[in-house]
Amino acid sequence: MRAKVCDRLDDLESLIDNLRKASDEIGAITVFIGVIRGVSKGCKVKQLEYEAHETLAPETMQKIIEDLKSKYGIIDAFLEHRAGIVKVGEDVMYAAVASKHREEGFKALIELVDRVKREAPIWKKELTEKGAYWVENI
Amino acid sequence: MKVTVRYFGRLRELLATKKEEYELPEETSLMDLLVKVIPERHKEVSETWIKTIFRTVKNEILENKNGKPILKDYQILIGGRSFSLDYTLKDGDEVAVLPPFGGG
Repeated sequence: MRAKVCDRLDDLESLIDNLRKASDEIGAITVFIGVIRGVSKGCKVKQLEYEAHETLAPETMQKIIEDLKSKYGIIDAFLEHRAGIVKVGEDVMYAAVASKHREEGFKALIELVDRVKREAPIWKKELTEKGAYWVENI
Repeated sequence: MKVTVRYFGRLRELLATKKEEYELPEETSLMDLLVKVIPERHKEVSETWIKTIFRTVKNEILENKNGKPILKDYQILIGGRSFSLDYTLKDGDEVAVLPPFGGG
């Protein structure tokens, strides 16, 4: 398991390769890449600024992965989330799940991303053409 | 006693600081800290602070049936754990005031 908040994401191929080594029972690796969208609520986005609680954020993400292992029986997972300024078109998050079959992989990945958005102490400020504001995933 | 308070996101911007220390009398509660002590130090934004983290009506903090202020979707953690506003602060406590999350 691996959960990390960082200024620069690690190389995705390397992360997937490491995940693949977790077991020879892996039959599926499902991957999510979070990308900064150039438009939000009809406004042109210039950049996003992310801030995270440096210990609670990765701990929360790790706990979510552990929960998903219990719930879906997935083999392993990783999640990396950037902090700092992220420009439009750049990757902000990598999440991947290794499982025996695709069914539990897809389900676990969706829940992993949804829960991180709701539960991880990470904050996002959008700078748009109309001004800057903090986004809340309530 | 000394207590550290950490701010994130919109609160960090509002108070123009990530972290600060307070020297407090014994028996100071978490509620005292949030309702009185922090606004007292940051007088220029005290009204905004109150309206940002508490539910208010006509500039008055709304209270629940037990007479306690009602927080908006803000989490107050001490050492990574959640406590009620009645909690009596202890020397060395680190209080983190967390706005609603927005990651992903």
